[in-house]
Amino acid sequence: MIDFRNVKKVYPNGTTALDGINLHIDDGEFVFIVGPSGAGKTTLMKLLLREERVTSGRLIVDEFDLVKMPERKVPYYRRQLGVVFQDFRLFPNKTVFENVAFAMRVVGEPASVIKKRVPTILSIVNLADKYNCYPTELSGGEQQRVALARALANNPRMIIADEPTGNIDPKMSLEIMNLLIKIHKRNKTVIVVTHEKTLVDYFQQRVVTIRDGRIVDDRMGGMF
Amino acid sequence: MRRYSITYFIGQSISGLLRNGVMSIASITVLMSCLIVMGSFALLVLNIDYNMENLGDLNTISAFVQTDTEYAEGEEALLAGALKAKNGAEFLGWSLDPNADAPTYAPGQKYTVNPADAKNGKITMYAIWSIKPQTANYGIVYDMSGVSIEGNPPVDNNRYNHGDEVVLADAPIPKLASNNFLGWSVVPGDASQLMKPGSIYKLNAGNAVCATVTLYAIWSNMPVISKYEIVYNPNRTEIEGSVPTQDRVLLMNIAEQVSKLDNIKRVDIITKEMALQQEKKRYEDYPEVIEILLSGKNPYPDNFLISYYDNDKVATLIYQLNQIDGIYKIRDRSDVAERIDSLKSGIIVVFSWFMILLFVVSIFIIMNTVKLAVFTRKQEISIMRYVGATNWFITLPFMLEGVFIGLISAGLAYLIEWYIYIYLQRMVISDTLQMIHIISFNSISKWLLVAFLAIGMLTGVVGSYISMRKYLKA
Ligand SMILES: Nc1ncnc2c1ncn2[C@@H]1O[C@H](COP(=O)(O)OP(=O)(O)OP(=O)(O)O)[C@@H](O)[C@H]1O
Ligand SMILES: [Mg+2]
Repeated sequence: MIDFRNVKKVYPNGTTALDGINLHIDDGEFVFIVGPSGAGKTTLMKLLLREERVTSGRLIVDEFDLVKMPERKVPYYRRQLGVVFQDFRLFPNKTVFENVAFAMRVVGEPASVIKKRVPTILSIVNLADKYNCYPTELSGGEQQRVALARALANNPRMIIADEPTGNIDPKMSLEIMNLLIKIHKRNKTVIVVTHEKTLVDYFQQRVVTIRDGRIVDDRMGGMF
Repeated sequence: MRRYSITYFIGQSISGLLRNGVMSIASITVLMSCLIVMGSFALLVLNIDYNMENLGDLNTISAFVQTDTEYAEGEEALLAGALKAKNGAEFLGWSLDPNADAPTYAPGQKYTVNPADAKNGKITMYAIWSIKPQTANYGIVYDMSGVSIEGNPPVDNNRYNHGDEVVLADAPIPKLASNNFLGWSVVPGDASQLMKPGSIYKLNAGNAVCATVTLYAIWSNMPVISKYEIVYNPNRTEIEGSVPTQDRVLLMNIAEQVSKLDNIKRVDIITKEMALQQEKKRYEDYPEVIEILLSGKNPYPDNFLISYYDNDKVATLIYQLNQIDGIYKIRDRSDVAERIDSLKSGIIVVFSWFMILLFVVSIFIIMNTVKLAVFTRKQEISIMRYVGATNWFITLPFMLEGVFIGLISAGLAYLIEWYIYIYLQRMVISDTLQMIHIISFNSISKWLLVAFLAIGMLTGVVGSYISMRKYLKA
């Protein structure tokens, strides 16, 4: 459950990126966030990740009140989320296996659990045979699938993807989107920021449109 | 965290060190130099202290005392203080009369020298006790009446009763041939009661003083007496310690005056006997040498070793000591103390600045090394943040990197310090014939190593913490 209430975000330089945001997302929902460049979509994601703090209003994610949350609790909150970026952000000097395992090591998962779980996750994203490759040896779509696997590593309740298909060719993009839907079907909340008109139209999910920092449209099976 | 994590952290920090090759080496070098300077400083200061110890307490003055205890007529002499009798009798004071019931002079009182009290230039002060001693049988003492003779004066160790016959000693031979021995007399200088050497004297208790009959030599040229000596007689009572002598009394008196001055910490009396003893001890292995050097005499004067508190007021103290009668020479070591003090404070100032400088540089360079390490791993750090890594998980490798820099520097600094120290020590010793004593490296090596490791680690941790601080926010 995500609940934005009258959220406003003003950056230190005075730019108002978001204003009067009221948005409720239930557990297990799939939501596309769309809007023109500079509308405030990434800012919305950053607030959810608690990378940026809300200027005013309330933001609650499950039992976490992101406004009141002390700094030291942030890492534990983030373990509930899986994040995917446009630029993948993989460790170039680690294998696929190690990249996924790393997320589990950070939270102190024992080696035996890691050994068992990583191959399972890699098979979800159809990369079971590439576990020993380095990111540079993979295509963009494959790299993004590794990132997705890493996001799933700690079994998060929610996946946040900011333009996951931005750097990938259209065929691969469909595959990534299909994977995200697959994950959503496994009862996870999925929020995807995207510019891909065709994909949004194709999947017929909830679409939230942001323009100039405000939500201008929010509908089921919506279109661009 | 699990075991894996520990190897992860250590592995991360070591690979960080290697990745930052040049910077790491620079940090290690600077920190190492800093530690070497610190160590040298500690060793130097320790050595100065140690050498000061070798020189003895520098806050001391030796005051030499002229114990001229022969008095002219009318001069005042301070009498000895209380004696302690072994039989528990209470000491009342001194008297010229051995049989007096009450003392004429209290202990420590002044006595004006009167020739009428003297016999052959000696004024005998008899101790007067609360319990009168029993008179036993009598002894004989020969007195040369102040004339130097060849050999020792005659001695008679027999005890006699009243009326016993005493065979008088043979004639002593005067050093000056022109002086002729005339005979013995029970009254000093009285030729009218002359007795020939070797003749019989019927002991008369009336002649005895303190159960002793003194037989005075009568000479053709009796020495003229103008100086009088005071001798103390315990008056047939066994006492604790030794019978006081007048020069000891004088010494005690001067010591008391000295100890009443300002700035005095302690006054030790070193008698001429003690001084001789000390010197003999120094030449223990060469008794012939000391025999030749001293030719049987004691050339050492009585003196005081005076310890004082404040080196700044030493001039006043010396002036005051010079005012005291009997002190004729003063030797102080304030110049040495001052020189060492200023040397020490100079070294401390120079080294402190140097150390602070190097310490700051060390911290700064470690900060930069870690900053560089953080910078090269910026992306990694941001990924760690997104997957929910805690602050310490992110920072620990960098902190450890600082710690490694500290530990490596400490280890190297220790080895270099060790080498330098032993090398210098050997040089100094062979150069100065061990005149300068240097403390051995072993005696402080443990502390030095511990201090080095602690300071090295601390510097590493502080340096990396400062540069990590801004990354500690999510
Ligand atoms: N760190 C920042 N400091 C100041 N202003 C910022 C910052 N990040 C974003 N902005 C501004 O906030 C507004 C919203 O930016 P945001 O990145 O959220 O847009 P977006 O919808 O993600 O755009 P795009 O589709 O191009 O990624 C923009 O005007 C942007 O310039
Ligand atoms: Mg964006």
